Parts: sequence; C-alpha cells; structure tokens
Amino acid sequence: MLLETKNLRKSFPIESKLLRQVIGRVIAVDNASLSLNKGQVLGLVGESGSGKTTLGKIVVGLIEPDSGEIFLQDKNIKNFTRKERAKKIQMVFQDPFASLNPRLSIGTILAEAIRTREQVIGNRQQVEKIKELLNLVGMPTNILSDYPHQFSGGQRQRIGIARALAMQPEIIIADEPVSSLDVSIQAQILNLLLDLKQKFSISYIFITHDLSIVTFLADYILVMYQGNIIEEGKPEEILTKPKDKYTEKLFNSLPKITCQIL
Amino acid sequence: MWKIYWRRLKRNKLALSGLSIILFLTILAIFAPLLTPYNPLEQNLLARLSSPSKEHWFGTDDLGRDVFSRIIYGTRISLTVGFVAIGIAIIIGTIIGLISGYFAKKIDLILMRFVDIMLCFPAFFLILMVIAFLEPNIYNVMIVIGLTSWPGLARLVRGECLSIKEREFISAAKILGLSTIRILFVHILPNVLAPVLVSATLGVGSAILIESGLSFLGLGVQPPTPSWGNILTSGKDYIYLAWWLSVFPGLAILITVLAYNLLGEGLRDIFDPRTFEG
Repeated sequence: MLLETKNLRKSFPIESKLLRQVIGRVIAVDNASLSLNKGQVLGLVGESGSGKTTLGKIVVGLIEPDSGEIFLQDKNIKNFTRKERAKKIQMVFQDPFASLNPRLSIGTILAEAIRTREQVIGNRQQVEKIKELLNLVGMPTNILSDYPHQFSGGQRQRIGIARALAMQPEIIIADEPVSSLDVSIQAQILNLLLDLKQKFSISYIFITHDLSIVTFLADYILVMYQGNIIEEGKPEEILTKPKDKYTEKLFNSLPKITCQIL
Repeated sequence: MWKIYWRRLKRNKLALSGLSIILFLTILAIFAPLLTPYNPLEQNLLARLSSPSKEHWFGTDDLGRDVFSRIIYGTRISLTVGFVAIGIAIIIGTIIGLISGYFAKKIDLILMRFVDIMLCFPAFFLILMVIAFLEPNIYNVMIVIGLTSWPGLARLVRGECLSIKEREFISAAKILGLSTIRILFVHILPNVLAPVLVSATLGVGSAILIESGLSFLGLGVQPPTPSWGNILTSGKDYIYLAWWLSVFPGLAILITVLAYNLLGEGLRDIFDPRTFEG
C-alpha cells in the first residue's frame, strides 16, 4: 500500500463576529479513510464544501488533522520530515494564475524545486534538468527567464505540473487541475497527466466535481458528502449501480445529451 | 513587471518631477565641495549678515558664513538622515510585519499591540524624549528616527502578508518543503515591496522634516556642522534683519519634502493594480 489514511477528522471553528469567540465547529472532514496503490488514480468527487479539498490538503501536509493517521509506504507520516514528505507527495493546484509566484521567473520556480530535491547540483546540470522537465510537460525550453504572466492558463498549469514533477513524487494530488481551463485545454492537460502516470507510474488523488472527468480518469472513486466518504467503488459500479441516494442524485445531475429519433 | 512600472513612471509627470528633484539634490550633496563657492564653516566677520548678492547668492549669516554653501552641505545631512533612518525603519518594519502576518495568532497579537502602543505616542515627542537622554548628534538622530518610524510600515507589510500567504503559490512552496525563511523572503517579500516602496518614499520626506525640527531645537545636528534645521535656528534671531537666513533653508526643506511626496504619490498610482493598463 502506497498511501493509507485512517479516520482522518478535521473541523474548523466558527467564530462570533463581535468577540471572536468560538461558537461552534464545522466538520470539514469526518472519519475519512482511503487507500491508494502504486500507479492508481483515485477520484475524489463531491459538491463544493464536501471536504474533498480539505482532505487533499491534509494528505499533502498543508493542514494538520485533528485526529486520525496517515501512512506512507506503511510508515506513519509523522516519521517523515517536511522534505522527505515533499519528495513523495506533490500537488497540482486549481488556479494556475495563483499557483505560480508572479515575481519569480519560470527558471527560478523550477530551480527551487530541483534544488530542494538534490542539494548539490551544478548550474549547468540544473539548466539541463529544467529543460528536461519543460520537455516532459510539452513546453518550449527557451522560457527560463520569462515570467508567469506571459503564459496562458493551460501553459501555466503545465509549468505547475513540471514543478511537481521536479520532486519526482510518487503521489500527485490534483485539486481540480482543469476546472479553470478552457474545455479544449482540459483534455490536453488530462492526457498529459495520464502520460506522466504511465511514464513514471505516479499515483494520483484526483479531486474534482466534474463526474465526466473522474469516470474517464479514475480507477477507483470516492464520493464525499458533508465531510464523509459516503460511497466508494469502481467507476462502472458507481455509475451503474449507485448505492447511496446522494451519489445517484450527483450522477443524475450530469447534463445528458439525448437523441430522439423522429 | 518592473519594466511595466518603469514605463508607467516615465508617463507620470508628478512622479518624474519628484524623481528629478531628488536626483538633482543627490548630485548636489555628492559634489558639494565642487559646487560651493565658500567653505561652509569659514567665517568672514567683515561680511556679517550681508544680503543676497553676486558674491553670496543666499547672503551670509551672523558669523559671515556663506548661506548658499551651508545649505548645499546641509543637503548631505538631510538626505543621509532621510535614507538611513528610513532604511532602518524598512528593515525593522518589514521583518516585524512579515513575522506578524505569516505566523498570525499569538505572535501577531503581541507584535501588533506593541505597534499600537508605538503609534499611540506622538512620534516627535517620543524622539525628543529619547534624544534628551542620549547625546544629540546626527547618528543618534538617524537611529532614533529609524526606530520610531517602523510601526506604520510593519502594519502595512502585515496586511499584505496576510493576503499573500493565502495564495496558492505559498501553499506550493510549503509543499515543496521550502524553509520558512525562504518562503518569507523569496516568495512573500518581493510581493509586498511595491507598497513598502511607496510608504518609504513618503517616509523619507517626514524623516527629513523631523531631522530639521530636531536640529532647529538644537537636539539634532550640532553647530557648526550645517544642517537646514540649525541654519533656521540662527535665522530666528535675525528674522526682521536678515530674511534670507530663514527663507532659503525653509525653501530647501519645502522643495525636498515636496519632491519625496510627489514621488511617493506617483509611485502609489504606478503600483496601483486598478489603474493597470500595461
């Protein structure tokens, strides 16, 4: 087992406006257990506010869970340092306009990731590495001194993916990586992610609200509702025989094109 | 990004005029010995309190010293005090602001209450009080102005930091396992620099004003070293007899502070994303 979470739970305080007293708690993730095998794509679906992003952030280490455990290659994640964890799990973000620092050049952004992975590396080697990464994600290699604002959303997302790849991770958490892109670009980015999966046998946790994407990509689907994982299974199972009413509703909300033969 | 700002600066007349005045003053300060007709400390008791003339453009003071030369040398003091004091303020204000904004919670609460306390005191009286305990000289003046000018900057940086740390590229940096120091100084700092620059530019003007005020009261730069403030002091006693002793240093202060304010206001427009058209 590559990654396993057990009974993760996270709640956020609700503060009163006036005195900032905690008047209650919202449970964002409740009792979430999941497991991910090598080379597997796990689809995490649910409406907004269902806790899927929070769960992703807990796994990647951005949010500390209130309780529960995470095991990475059968070892408790607490035994990993931040850097060791970074070499295993990386993330691709939803908004490619916010996920790259506007003040750093593309070369600097990627070099930073490479240098975190390999402490001692010569300048020429580093440039070679950066070019290799840009090649992998289908970007031209003469953009090292360009800045993020010079690129389109899809190109920035590719750069974001290159940054994650620089760490040679085993798991990539993709948090709605295509939802802010044009439909034509979406397919390109999804195919790129699939290519990379085959090349490096990376496992994905793919967070999305778009069911058509998740049925296309995922080997296994988890449906989240109000912080709980209410249903899981293979895409064809869930699609054809949903056990939970909510899942059924979710899948029925997909726009359908029906043909009527006159 | 900075290329765009430079293009916008070239189009902004107010900022450009402020910048040219400041550059002009800086050149005056650097080349003071070459530009002044007299030694600013040289007394000529035969030519005491002579009015502006061909020999003495801005007249002479009660000891027969050339006011023009003294004002040019005074530029050195004023600009140095302005830059060094604000430099100190920027360093302290930025570090405190970044720490406060990034770590939030208790650290933020403590640091910001301290900032509130600092802001409660009228700055000038605080400086007067501190200077009264220390020896009044230019170094103490610079340090004390610097040490009292940072709270506003700290608050500004904190606010910016609070909003920037929520952006996804900061999450990305954390996930890469970068150190907190690197996140603060490589990822957040360059993004808060624009408002800091505006505020610092305006701050230089007020630092120069404070220095002049202190020197006027005899607590800043000590005579015979010329500073705009202490030239004014010597003019005070002869205000009915020798108007040039008060008017010229006063104008020098006015023009310099105005130049910094123009540049500061101009930079504010230049960095304003709402007026961003490329």
